Amino acid sequence: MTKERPVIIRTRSLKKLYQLGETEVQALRGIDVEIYRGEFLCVMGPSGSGKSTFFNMVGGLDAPSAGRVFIDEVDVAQLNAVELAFLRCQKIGYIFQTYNLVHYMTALENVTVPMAFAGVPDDEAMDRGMDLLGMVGLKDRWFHKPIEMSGGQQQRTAIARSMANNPSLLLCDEPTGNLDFKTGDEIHGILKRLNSERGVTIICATHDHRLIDMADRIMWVRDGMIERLAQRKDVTVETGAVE
Amino acid sequence: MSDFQIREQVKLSARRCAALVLDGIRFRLFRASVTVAVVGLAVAFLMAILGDSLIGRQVEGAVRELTGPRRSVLFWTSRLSSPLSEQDLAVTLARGKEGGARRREFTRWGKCSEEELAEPAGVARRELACLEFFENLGEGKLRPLVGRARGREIFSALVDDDAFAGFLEALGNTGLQMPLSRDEFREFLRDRERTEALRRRIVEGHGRALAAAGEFLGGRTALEALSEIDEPARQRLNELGFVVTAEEADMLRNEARNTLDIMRLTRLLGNTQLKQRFAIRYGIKAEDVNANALFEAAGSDSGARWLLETQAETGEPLEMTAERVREVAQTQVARNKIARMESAIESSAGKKVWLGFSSRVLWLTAVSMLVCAVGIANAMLMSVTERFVEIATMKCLGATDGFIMTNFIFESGFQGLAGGVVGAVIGLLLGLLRSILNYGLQAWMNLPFGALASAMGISIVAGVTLSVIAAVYPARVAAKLAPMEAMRVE
Repeated sequence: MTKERPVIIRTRSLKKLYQLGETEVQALRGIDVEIYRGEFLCVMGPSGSGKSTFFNMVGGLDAPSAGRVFIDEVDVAQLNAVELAFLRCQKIGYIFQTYNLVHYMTALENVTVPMAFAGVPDDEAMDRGMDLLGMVGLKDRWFHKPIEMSGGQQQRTAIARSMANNPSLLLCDEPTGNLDFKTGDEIHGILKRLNSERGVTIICATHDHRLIDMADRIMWVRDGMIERLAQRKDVTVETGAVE
Repeated sequence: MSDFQIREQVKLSARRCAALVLDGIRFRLFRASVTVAVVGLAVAFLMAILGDSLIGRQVEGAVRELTGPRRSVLFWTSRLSSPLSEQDLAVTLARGKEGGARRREFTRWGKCSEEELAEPAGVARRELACLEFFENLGEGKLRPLVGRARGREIFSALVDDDAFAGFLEALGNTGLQMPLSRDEFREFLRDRERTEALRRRIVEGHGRALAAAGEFLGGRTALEALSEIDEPARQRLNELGFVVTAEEADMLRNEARNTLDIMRLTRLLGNTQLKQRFAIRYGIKAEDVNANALFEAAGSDSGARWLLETQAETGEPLEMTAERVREVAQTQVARNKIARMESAIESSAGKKVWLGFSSRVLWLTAVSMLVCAVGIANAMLMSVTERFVEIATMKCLGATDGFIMTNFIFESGFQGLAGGVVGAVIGLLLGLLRSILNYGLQAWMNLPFGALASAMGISIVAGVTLSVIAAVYPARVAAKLAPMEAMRVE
């Protein structure tokens, strides 16, 4: 069944070399992967495994040393700076471990920032922003600034922001890494809903077993290589251990 | 099958950028205030210097007007009593107005036309420039260049071809820069030689006029003669070649009388008995009785009358009315004030190099601006470093490099504007304060409002420009930041 689904991200022998002083570090040693539209993929791996580097490549945040990244069949390497900005603005939503909301803006203003970059008229942006805040259950807190919100509320605002321009791809970097168990659950619910109801492709770097439990596929990265790529149903998830 | 078409990211309007920046500044008020303070300080410094200089110039002009008559009297007493020096001749030729009174005198004494004076005038201008150059050289440099010759002798000594060749060689070794090029200097020496005869004629003509003026002076000093100058005397002077208008004669007479009367009053200090009585009357020590105290006291009606009476009792009576004594004393007190101001102007002036500002002032200003620019650049760089994650997040959300760049330039520009306004006001106050301390009431009376307003404008513009320029590098750093920095966990 999955074979017929359209591919949203395709990488071809993706390599990344970092120059750290005298020594060269091979962060990615050739990754070939196809990620399907509407898929929920979890990426796992210890720190230093190249997980973050893979994320940056796929999100159009950094250029590979060798190999190619296609997002919707568009070669990211061919895009100039302004087109990359367009890609990040319109097609990809980012969710960060530290939420990264703009401190001096209210929740609504934060959510409408990407719309402003996309040239959406103010009135429409406000309406859409309120809808998005409603979707994450923060409609009545639209005027709160980040410091006036809890971590979970901030991350929900960040999710609303990431969905501002209806991206087809959501990149989450440890979305619940800074949250407690219960608030993490709220985030998981929202992500799952986005995936199932809106058909947003979600790529998620995480160690959170509950999040992994929701995924369609799980990808293990180690030493810049894909160690294992498995369907969720082929993996047993237990609290405390994943095998 | 691809559902998305890559386009170029839209550009945000400047208004939108400005609004975002202002929000940010309001949020980081403390950080912003540091930059504002840096700009404010530099602009205040600039404005204080500009304000002080502008007021100083205005006061200088006013003082020049006030001291005009006195300088005229000095000028006339010297030219009625001593021959025309080469320096005076050169200065008058170089600076005198074409068709002016002094030039006309020269045509009469030199028996030449106004046009013929054009060449010596040009020579005089170059001569003064070269003289200044030579005077500014130390003895150690001057000796190898021109031997024992000093002042104008240098020029006559160099007319000789061999001497000139030697001079050029020595000059080449020093690497000094003369105000004239070698060829120009050579030409100047020749021109000077050629106009020598005319200049000598003028000096001799003045000498003859001076000899004839002995009859006009009639055994009086020049000052006394000037204090009694009347219409026949004025005409006599004009016959001798001097140019004196009736108006000038009136002014000279008045001023000369004042000067003479002041001298007569000052001479009262020679009367020991009067001094003692004065000391008792005003409760000061006898040795403290000086001209200043005397004139201060005589400036009042009772003081003037007392002075006349006491002098009559203790010595030769002074043939002046009490009213005249008071008037003269007041004139002298005012003169002293002006003299103090003159010395203040002189001490603060220095050599003017650009727009009437001395090189010292320009140098200080330039340094302060540089320090300010470095300060702003530093503050902005820190601000960029602190906001790595924010900037990178913005880039993840679709901000272009241009937007980030504009953002930081705007931010610095706004802070520069705020600092500029604050600094200009503070600087104006400082400048006012300083000039009032220096020149007193004259500063208030001569405030150049228009010039001060434009100086404030210039200072504010300088502050903004400086901030914008200083922000270019930090803004570039921010714009070039990789968006993946947003993933960083602190």
